[in-house]
Amino acid sequence: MLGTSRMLEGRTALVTGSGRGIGAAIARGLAQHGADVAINCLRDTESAQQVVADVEAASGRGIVIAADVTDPAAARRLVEETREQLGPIDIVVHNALAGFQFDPRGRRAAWNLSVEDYTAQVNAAVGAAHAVTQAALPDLTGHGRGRIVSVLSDLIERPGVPYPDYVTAKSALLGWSRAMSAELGPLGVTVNCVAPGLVPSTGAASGTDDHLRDSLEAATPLRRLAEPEDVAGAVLAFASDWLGFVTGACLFVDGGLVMR
Amino acid sequence: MTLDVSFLPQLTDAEHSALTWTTSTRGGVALQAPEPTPALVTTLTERLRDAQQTHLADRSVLDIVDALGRVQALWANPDFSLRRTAEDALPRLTGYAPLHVRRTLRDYLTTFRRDRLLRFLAQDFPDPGVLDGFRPSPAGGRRRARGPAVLTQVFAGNVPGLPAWDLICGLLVKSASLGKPASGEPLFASLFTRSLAEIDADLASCLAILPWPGGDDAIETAAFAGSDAVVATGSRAALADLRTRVPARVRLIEHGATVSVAVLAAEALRTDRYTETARRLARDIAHYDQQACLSPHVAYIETTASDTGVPVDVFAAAVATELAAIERRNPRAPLTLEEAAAWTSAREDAEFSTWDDEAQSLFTAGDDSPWAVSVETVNSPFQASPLGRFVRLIPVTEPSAIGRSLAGVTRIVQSAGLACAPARAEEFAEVLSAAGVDRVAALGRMGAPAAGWHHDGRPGLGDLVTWTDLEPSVDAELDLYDPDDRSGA
Amino acid sequence: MTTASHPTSHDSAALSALDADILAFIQSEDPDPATFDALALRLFAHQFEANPAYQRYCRSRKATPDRLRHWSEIPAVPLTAFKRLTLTTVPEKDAAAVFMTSGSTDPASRGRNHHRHLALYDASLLRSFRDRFLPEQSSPLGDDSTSGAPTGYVAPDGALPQCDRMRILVLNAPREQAPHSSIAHFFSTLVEHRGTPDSLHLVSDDGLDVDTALNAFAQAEHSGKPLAVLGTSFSFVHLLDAMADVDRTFRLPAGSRVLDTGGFKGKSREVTAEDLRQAFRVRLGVPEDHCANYYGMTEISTQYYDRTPLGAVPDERAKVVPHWARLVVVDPLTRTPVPHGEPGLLLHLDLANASSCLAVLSDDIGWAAGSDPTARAHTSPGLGTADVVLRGRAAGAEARGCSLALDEVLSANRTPAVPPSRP
Repeated sequence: MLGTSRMLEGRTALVTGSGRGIGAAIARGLAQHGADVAINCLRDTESAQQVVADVEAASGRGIVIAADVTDPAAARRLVEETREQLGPIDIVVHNALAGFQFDPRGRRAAWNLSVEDYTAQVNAAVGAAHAVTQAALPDLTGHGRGRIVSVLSDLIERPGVPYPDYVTAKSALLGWSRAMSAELGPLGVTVNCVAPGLVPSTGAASGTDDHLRDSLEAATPLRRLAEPEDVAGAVLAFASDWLGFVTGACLFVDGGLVMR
Repeated sequence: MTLDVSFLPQLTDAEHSALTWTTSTRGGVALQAPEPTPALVTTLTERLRDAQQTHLADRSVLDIVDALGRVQALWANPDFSLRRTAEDALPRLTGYAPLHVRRTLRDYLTTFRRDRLLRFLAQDFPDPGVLDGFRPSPAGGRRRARGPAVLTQVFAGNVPGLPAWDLICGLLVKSASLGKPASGEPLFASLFTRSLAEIDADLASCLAILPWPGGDDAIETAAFAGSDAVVATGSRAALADLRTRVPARVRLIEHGATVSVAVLAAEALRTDRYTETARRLARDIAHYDQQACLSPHVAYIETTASDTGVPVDVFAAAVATELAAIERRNPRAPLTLEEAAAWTSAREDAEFSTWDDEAQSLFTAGDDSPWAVSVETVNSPFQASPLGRFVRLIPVTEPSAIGRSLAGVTRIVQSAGLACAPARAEEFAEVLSAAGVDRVAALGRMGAPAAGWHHDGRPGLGDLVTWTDLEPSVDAELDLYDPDDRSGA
Repeated sequence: MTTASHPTSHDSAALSALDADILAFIQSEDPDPATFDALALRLFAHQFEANPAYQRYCRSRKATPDRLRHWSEIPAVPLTAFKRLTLTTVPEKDAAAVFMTSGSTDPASRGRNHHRHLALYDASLLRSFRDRFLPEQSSPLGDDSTSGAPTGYVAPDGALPQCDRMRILVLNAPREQAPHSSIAHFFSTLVEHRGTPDSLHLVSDDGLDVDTALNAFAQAEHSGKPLAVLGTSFSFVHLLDAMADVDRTFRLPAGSRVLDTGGFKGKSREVTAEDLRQAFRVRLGVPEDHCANYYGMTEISTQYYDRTPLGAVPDERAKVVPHWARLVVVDPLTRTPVPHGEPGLLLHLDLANASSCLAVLSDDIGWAAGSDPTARAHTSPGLGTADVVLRGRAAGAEARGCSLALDEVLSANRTPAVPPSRP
């Protein structure tokens, strides 16, 4: 559905949390348009190997690097290994998610969240983005092709189901992105965000029930829920030259549920 | 339309129409000029000598300044037809981006405004009246300055407009000029002289513009024989050749090609200042793609232990990004094959240097990048840029290191662009001056020298003239011969 | 002096399968362009793996063997890489030869080209010499390849029939005196394989032996046996000048021929190719169609001869590209081919350059001549096979403005006595 081109040929992308789900779709999409892709996940799984196979089939080069990006040392190793194997990194996609389950019923609410829950989520989102970006900066700057894209959630704008720790962390990542776009713009790097609506096919969304899906669909102008490829398409646009003059933006990919 | 790159008001209409004309096309611009011959050149120098006697020798310098000021006023009008011709043709002739040519030409044309010409005169002649007659000398007595009656001026390079200044300098010291335009920018000299003719045909009759193949021995022999002095701009090799051919009785005033540098103090890389510093440096680098001698080849960057500034690599990336932005609005002029080969070779040399040295890095947009920012070390001998928006950034830990780095080029270094706290300007200027730098400008203003600049570190007008001193003894001792004898009183 | 025989019979068993295939291709009488395409990619994959510096260069351009579809995508290294990097697939101690550039532009830094063995180098030089210089004596050089030993290519001395040999005079030092000179190896190899026992090297530490040369010319005139005179262009200038000084001319026997190479590099006055050929005709009596120049570089392993002595003599001679090489005229900035006939830098792909890099970007300017074999498409099999007219080196561009160019500053740095810009 995302087509193929040579638009990103010669560029190297690193996608955190891309062993499956949205990240995997992003990795495939980047490869279909010519990029080499480093696929990162917590553990090297069969699913991740399948993503590599798909990337290679798209005539890009793919590698899997298992690393916990919330660990700064591991994040540095991830970047170094990517550089070693695929050359300097042009595109970084922050997609990794700390183990989080979207579960409207079983969610942790204001009265039973601890500050540690917030810290964990913020660290997973902002901490990881910071560590990976900092390590990759020498590659990203100075040539005009540097791209950073962070995957958020439309819950930051429309918390239909409140997940305070998660929404706080993703909102923090939006703030981080905007600050980074100002910081890195003069160095030739664009920094943008993609905020998808509920993507029911992902593991993290397996806890959402039919009623919630139906009501979200009904409220969505485009009459369906998001698929991983919808998200990947938006990431591709930011990674390409098409949106090379856009930075600090946040694109909502939720069929019009959030309009801004 | 075919543009005439010659200007020969000294010829009669009959002589003019008897010339053989050749037409050539450069960058899509059709140009025509008469076939140069030694006989034509001899005729021109003779008539220039006459015109100088008739129209220039006895004219007051302030009167000349007034006329030139009125010429400048013509050019200050964006709708002036010759300015529009220049803005249209020069980018096509030289390859420089139209926007860049329009803006730099606009700034350049203001430099011969009347008030600036007066300042320029005053720089070398506190009393410009010395060009008109004997004036009191500070050392006692009186003195007078004279320029050569006839100058041959050999222009070089493809930087638009430069010959105008040389022609003006000649007129200010009352010299008639035979100008040979450069093949890289053959047009502006004739446009300027035409504008002068609109204001003052007498003055214009003291200028002739005629292209000939550089180094043509028969023509240049005729030109030099008919001149009192030769002013030549060019490469070191071309000047060395000229030196062997200008007769001993003719003065040769050379303007050899030079290199310039930038100096950025630690405070210029402060987190809240570095982006603006990068912007200014990039502007100076992009000024005529470093082909003009005013652009930096190298930028020395003072690094200190303090952590208030950004790392050199971050600054380099910012300079690269500014150059990328400039490329979008003012693309680099096409390189010749030789230039492209030299540029690529220098870029790859820089790339290989980064391989075994963590302290070096290179910022480009790939193999066909139209710019390069190379971070290098101060340890090697001074290395120039291949030009074409290629800059070397060299971290130094103390200002004196700049002087050591420039040791090999002391006699060819020219301008320095400086970015530092005002209180430190002189500290850096001292180092630069000792290293041979003859002009220190603010970073970002390297391409626009102030009126009165000592080009190549020398008095621009002062070098053209010779002095006659009427010594104090004349006033003191010659009363003896005063018919109204007061000696015995 | 007579050149001692050099042990050039390489151990054929030591050749890798790839080298053996390249060797067979060089020696092939009916080469298939598709074989070049395949061998180039195989050789690139080998060099990528075995030459770490080259691998790094390729990786930074994101060119890897699994990705390349055609040899035109192989990254070409610039000449400066041979100076700055150790660009080899073989450790120096295991190299049969390390050829070095003369360092004429910067004595401190000389380009070095390593050769694991000289089997391909020699096969290349002997084949071109046969095809381009001795065409009417073209009994196949593959004396040994037809003898049933496909990987052994060089017959032991003496295996060649005498009619395939000529008396060779070399205006250059023998290999033993210049072990790192590719030109010395080139000439010595020819003497060993194509020369009769009375062949001579006329340059030693004492310089050019003009008297011996003149004696040899006189002998040849007398005996009627043709001579081949080989040497660097500047040595020829010295010889011709010396002959002019004593006003000697010869009419060398029919079939005599002259081969010169290289520029003048400040070692003699500069002479155009046309004037040189004219002098060969006047002073040696060798007609222009028996005079050839070849273009080669230390950084590659193939020579490109004038399209002569076949047929008529054009004013401007083009160089012929042998079937195991490609010579692509490229834009220096984009590294992509320029339109046929337009000037650009010469990019070499040379299968014989197996121990370093097969793809080398020279700083020589030239343009493709003759009909365009590619007829539009850049990656068609004909790319890089057209004759090329050589114009000279691109080094030393002079700035067009008043800013000093790189090379001018270099020379200013070297020469302390720069005249001041004003007297």
